[in-house]
Amino acid sequence: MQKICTKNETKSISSCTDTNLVSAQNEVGKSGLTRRSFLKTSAAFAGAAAAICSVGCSAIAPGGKVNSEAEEQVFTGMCIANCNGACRLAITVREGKIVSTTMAEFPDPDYNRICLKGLNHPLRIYGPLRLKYPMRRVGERGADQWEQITWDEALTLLTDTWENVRNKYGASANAISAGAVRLGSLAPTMLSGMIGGTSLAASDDQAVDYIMPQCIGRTLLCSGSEPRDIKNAKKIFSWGCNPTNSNLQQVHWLLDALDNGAKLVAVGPNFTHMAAKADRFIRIKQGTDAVMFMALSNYLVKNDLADLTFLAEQTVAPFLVKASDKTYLRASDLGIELPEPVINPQTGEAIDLPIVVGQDGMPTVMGAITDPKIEGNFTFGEHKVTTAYSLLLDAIAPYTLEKAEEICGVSVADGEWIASLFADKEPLAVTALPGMDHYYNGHQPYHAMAALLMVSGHLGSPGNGSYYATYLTGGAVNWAAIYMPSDYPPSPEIPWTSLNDVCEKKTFNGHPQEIKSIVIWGKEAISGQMDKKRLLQSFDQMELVTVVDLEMNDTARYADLILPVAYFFESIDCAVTGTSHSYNILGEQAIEPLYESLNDYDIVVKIAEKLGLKWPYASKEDFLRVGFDSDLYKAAGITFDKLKEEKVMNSVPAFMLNEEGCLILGAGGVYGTDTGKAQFYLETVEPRVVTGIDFDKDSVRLPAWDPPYEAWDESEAAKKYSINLLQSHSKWRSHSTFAKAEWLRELVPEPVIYISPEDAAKRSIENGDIVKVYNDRGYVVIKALIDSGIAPGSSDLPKGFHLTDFIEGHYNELSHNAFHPFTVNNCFSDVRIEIEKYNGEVG
Amino acid sequence: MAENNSVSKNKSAEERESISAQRSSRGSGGLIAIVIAAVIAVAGIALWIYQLSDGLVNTNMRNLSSWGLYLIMFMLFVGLSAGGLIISSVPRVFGVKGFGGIGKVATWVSICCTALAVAFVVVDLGGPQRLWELVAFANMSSPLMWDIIVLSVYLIISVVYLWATMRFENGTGSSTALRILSVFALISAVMVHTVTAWIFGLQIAREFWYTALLGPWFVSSALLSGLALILIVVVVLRKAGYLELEESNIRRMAVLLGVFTAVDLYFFGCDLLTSGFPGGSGAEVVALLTTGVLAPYFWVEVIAGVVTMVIAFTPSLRNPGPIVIAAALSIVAILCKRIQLMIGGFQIPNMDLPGVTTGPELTGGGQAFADVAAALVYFPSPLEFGVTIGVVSLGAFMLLLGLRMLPLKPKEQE
Amino acid sequence: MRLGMVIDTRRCFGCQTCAVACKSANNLPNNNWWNRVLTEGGENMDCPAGDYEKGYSLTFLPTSCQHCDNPACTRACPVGATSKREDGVVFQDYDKCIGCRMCVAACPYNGVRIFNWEEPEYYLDFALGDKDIPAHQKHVVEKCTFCAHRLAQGKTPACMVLCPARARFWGDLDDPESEVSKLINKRKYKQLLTDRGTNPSVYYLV
Repeated sequence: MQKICTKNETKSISSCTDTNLVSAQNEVGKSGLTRRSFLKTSAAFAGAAAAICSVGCSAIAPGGKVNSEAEEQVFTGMCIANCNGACRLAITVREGKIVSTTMAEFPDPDYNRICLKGLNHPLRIYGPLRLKYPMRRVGERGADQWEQITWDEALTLLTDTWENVRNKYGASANAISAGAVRLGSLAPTMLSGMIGGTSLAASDDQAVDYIMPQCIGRTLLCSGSEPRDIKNAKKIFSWGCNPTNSNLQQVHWLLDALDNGAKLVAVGPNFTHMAAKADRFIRIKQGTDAVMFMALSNYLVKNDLADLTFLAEQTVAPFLVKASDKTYLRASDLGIELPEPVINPQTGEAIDLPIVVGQDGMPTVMGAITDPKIEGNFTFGEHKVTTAYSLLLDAIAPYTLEKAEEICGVSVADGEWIASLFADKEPLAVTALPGMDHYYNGHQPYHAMAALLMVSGHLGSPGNGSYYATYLTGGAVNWAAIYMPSDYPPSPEIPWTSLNDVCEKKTFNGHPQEIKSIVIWGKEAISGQMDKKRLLQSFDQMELVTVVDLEMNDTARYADLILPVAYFFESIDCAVTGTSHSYNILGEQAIEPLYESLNDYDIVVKIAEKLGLKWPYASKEDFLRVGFDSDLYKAAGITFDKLKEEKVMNSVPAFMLNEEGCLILGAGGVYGTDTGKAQFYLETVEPRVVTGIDFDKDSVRLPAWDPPYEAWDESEAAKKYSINLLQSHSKWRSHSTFAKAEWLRELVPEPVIYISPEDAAKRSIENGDIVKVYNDRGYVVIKALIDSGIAPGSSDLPKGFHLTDFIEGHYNELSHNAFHPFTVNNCFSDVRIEIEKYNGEVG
Repeated sequence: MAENNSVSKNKSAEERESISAQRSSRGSGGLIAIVIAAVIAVAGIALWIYQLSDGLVNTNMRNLSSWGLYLIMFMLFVGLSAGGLIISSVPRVFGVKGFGGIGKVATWVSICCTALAVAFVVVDLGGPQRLWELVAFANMSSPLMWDIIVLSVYLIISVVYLWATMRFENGTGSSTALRILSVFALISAVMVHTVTAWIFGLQIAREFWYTALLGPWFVSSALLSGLALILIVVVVLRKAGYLELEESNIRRMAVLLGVFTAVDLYFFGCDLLTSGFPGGSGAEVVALLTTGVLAPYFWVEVIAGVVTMVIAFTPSLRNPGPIVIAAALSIVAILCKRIQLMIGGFQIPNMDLPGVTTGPELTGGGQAFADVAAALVYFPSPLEFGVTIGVVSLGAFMLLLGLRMLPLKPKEQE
Repeated sequence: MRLGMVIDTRRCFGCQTCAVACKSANNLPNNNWWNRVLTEGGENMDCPAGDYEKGYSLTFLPTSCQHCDNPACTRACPVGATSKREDGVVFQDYDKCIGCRMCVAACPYNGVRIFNWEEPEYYLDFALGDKDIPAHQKHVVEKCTFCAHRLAQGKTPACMVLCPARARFWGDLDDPESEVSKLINKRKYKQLLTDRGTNPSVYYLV
């Protein structure tokens, strides 16, 4: 690395008496010698004091003293790193440069936050990886050889390609992948509409994000109570996740609960930093959590510990499922008409209420009685029905604690102990982060967990329920405004996880489908999506791969065309989604966009111009104003102009909050589901995305369990490969964001795979050895470290590195594109590998 | 060990130089040696300048092992110096027979060693241009400050002592004055190495260093190594015809060498036992020395000491040839001792919990040398060896020049 | 007055935010870390000791200058470049330091003192962080000074601005009403290397 020094001030070298040092000022900071004088040792000849010696004046630089006369200006903004922290930032600008990004306070200081990553922004803004101008690939794909072109040339290339592809393959062959946290940066989501192209939709965390709202509903904001509420829990389960790494801004409330005497139990395959705070760590086999949750429910039920009142009052337990079509028996089925129908406020129509059975055996509408039966088979008219609860009991019956011991590796004694915690009436919280989501069966654990919370009655009140889901999900935004009608018929979304299949087989959902161009806007797909080799093959059959990003990351490296985007602080914007708090935050413009970069919105405007479209907004601020123009924002008193003044505003109207200022999911027994109840039974089953791949709908109505796709000792992959690959969130990164932030690199300079002492010993691998990690799809060569917290048969290769960090190969060659057709979700952790000592040349 | 070889190579270079220098004391051979020494010294100074400008990063010292070869040599040369002066002053102080009038040579050797000791401190400093601060801002609670004061006083006394000896030993002037001066010389010689010991021995932070025994022990090592150096120098000068010396003197010095070795090893034994007996962290230190990464240096010292004592106490072996070998081994032994002390102080950290390591990596050359002694927390880099050789050559230069130009022969032989 | 720190190791989960906060505010040269969060557990950083049968242990020790009440370093420095201030901070004066590294040898807390072995290097060509920091110099020793430049303006040390775990506290240990005094009166704590007589001003709640 080039030797770079800070600015120097002459006054700090005045302390040196040797006048020759004055000349050193001129050469300060460079290596090499300056004028010097030296006196030979006089002691031997003159008997003078021994301490006087030669004064070999060197370029001892006075040091990079900052110009403390310089003016500083502090702007407000937020950190956007896809970690859900969405910390508010104070951005200090000095002599025209951003010199620090530090914590800015929230109106409620309980939400104050900053982390080690967010302090690194200046390094990314001015760092060597920053993309400076549009570039076009000139060598082999991935060879990192580029020629600089103008914006005009770049956008001409892009729009011409779109037209060529449209003419040859149809408009839907142009794909756009865009998404953002800030409103202005959501402008690129308009592109697919503008060109009639296909939107590539995110396929990450989609199992938990799809199933949880169906089970426990949503508040205004998300499928969980306000994160702060966890401090009211007396028992906390951190299950299949590691909040201290992935959601560190929310952990302090959990720690508050512990300080107040709450018990923490960590359940997962590997011992994590969250487990380090736990009273107990219980090891469970990857991908088997659904079994455990069902066994716990089963145990509670069998031992008369289930919360039958809660089930009757707040869940779908008493509803009657028709054997014929699996839907609920409703008033209309029995010809019941209410004198005063209940009207759905959104549709204005009368609700066809589900029927429940009274203790006297008579059917009546839901809400008419307070203690309906929750078990039993009945026949009313032609309808043979069973209560949803009875169906649940049938579903979980095979899963005893003994069965759980066999499948999950959790002892019966431990299972009973956990059950006793759930049986207790004190508030109980489970952190429902997406760790368990990353498997083929990723919806099952959350479904079973939600059922357990319902069976044990731990929902709908402070300290109870599931926590830490993404909070602010943009529900208030005027999304209709983020849609640009075009001359082309709208194209269906294709999930990212299907992309490689579509490119290979040229079909999607039973129709012919090509993807011949792609714009990847702000997404690190090569490291962050699945099966790198297949993805590159998909790229190779396209006419143009365009990447719009901040830094030369792996995806940019493999692009054909690169567009440099302005940094968060180089344009005005505001955070409206993807946060773990309920605040909308203003991001001021602190500096002008660097080099030739343009902010997302401006690029979209330029593209619209190129396409000859009439752009409806006079300015970015107008666009932002329209985005805030919704009923929900009005209720919260937020407009863009107000936000410009206030800088940060809570998007939840005050009247929705309880006395502690928290938004509680299921408060008052009302859940944001179709039925208004907590649902362990899914009456309506639709795939999250219609891919045309069939699955048995009945198999997902109730909690169930299927073994993982690869990460399982009896899987097909297990015949050849013996270790499960987990890629955990590292505290040093947010996925791959900050991958090259140099300060973080000093702390952890290279990728590492952690393996158990047992697996290491079997393979004669010692701590620090270089290993090859491989399976049928690819390999990577990296360093191995031994961690006794890793379960034998498991491993952990934390995310967040680029191609150039690996000795050979790439860690994303190991993943695959299999997905469950119900959730259409990336199974990052459902991967099987082998590890062996590496014998090749290193470095 | 590479380090030992380079030092003994230096010693033999010095020996060779002084031999050829004295074949004709004002002849061209001596001049050549002086010039060679000067050239190497200048090269060393050039390397030192490079070290100052490109940075001490070119040494292998780092934050967790922040002192190295330079201060090892500092310790060694203070010892050599103190020993030399003790040998030359003790006879006069106690009014006993000396060792054949080699006092002036011994004093001059001592002065050269002092100068080298100071030079080694200076080349170790990050900011030698700020040396004036030692006078302006002296912090009197610092053992380093004490040592600087004592070294300064000691150097002055040494020089005055030499001058006085040259002037007054033939009887002109007061022999009482000379005797008093020699008392001061003796005391300051003992103090200088005691105080040097305190730089290390008072640091409760470092288990390896923190012992009351270190002061007396450094004095015994000084006696041992200083006497050894004088022995080598006078035997060589005698062989070269620079001075005459009865063999009995040499043998008596050899016996003394054996006694000093015994005392030194006795101190070592006491310290090892005291460290190791209670078990615990002290036992870790003993293990480090006897079977751990410092074991080579430990065993060389012990075996060298035993061989020295055998030679010293076996009349049939007490001849100049073996005596010179014993003396050389003694210096090597004390050098090993300094290495153990310095590296040992850093080898076992007080806090070795895993975390980020601060500071730059070793340079390419530095890493190559460090790989030689893989498990040691520190091993000198090429630059350190280069500067060290340069500084030692400076000492050789001074020694040869002094032998050539000052009246240092025993008074009867002038 | 005796400024000191209290760190709650029951809460600290080793996120390293305080280490990076120090690094960024003080514009530390490359590879210099005044505050290091050490792992008390297994052989590797961030890994636990123990095993599943017997149980694991893993805690974190954010370690920087302990601002000792009886500092070994101030006694050892020959020119008084390191000195104990009235407010308890052990200060480091770069302009006085002669680079002898006596303080590094004297300090028992390995690694809290950093010597600049070469001209300080940075990743960018302009200074980041606070504007009143004393310039970093080659060949002098540097270390945590409790952000003396911030204290001079009545501001909070960078590492204390916000710990995500809310595990860090600082204040006047001589003031019985300060947060730090109350914490060490209420909670059990440990200190580092108390057998070296340094009387550190950092307390780790356990």
